[in-house]
Amino acid sequence: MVKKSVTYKNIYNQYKNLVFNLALQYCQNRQDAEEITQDVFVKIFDKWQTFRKDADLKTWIYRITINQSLDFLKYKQRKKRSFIISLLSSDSSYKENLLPDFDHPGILMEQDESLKILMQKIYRLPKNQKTVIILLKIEGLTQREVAEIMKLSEGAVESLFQRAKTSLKKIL
Amino acid sequence: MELDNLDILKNIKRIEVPDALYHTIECRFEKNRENNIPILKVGIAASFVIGLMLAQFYFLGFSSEINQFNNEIELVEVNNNSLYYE
Repeated sequence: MVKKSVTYKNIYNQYKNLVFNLALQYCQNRQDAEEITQDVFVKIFDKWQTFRKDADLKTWIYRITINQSLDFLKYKQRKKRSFIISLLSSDSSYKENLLPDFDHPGILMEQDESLKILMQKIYRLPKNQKTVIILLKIEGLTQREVAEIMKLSEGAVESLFQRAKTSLKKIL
Repeated sequence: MELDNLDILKNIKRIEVPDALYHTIECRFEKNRENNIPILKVGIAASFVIGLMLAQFYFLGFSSEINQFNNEIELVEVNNNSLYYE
């Protein structure tokens, strides 16, 4: 039991910043990022026995973090939507207005308004496009690494990236 | 803003995770483990219930065969006209 606890602590220490910062890029809010980080590590510890030790641990952790972050965003948007629908008679533009409670310490520190605006646009991208932008441009991964994490070909990643850039231009 | 140049995103600072978070995670993990019902026990219980149901179907089928046999006996006409001849 002590040995298992040491392993979990090691995994946590090694990957805590990766998980937290990745979650932060998705939810753009410190509190939510902490909650997602907890969910991710509980899941990692839970599934540790079934994890194939010959597979890449970092890739696996990336995937869990991305999935948990996207699930969290979906849950949060559903909660907001049901509240807003109850107030509004027409739902024509509510989707565009579902912006995060922006509290991204990594951006607020820079006091860069254009960076904040860009992140808010990224927040509104479809999930795959959002993921590819975050992994390529914020996490600084190579296309090959992104392809492995997203289980796509490198060509598909590039195509997704181009579509994401086009979408960002369209978002007002 | 030039959207072709997304390199601006590299300016985002990395944040250190608060140390206290591990303790919260550990507590949640332990609580999850306590709440999980062991699969082996569930399997044994389920097998027992299924076994009982199968036994019930078997014995029901067996007893319905007996009933059918008895019904067939009753369908056979028994000529007992002693009542009318008395």
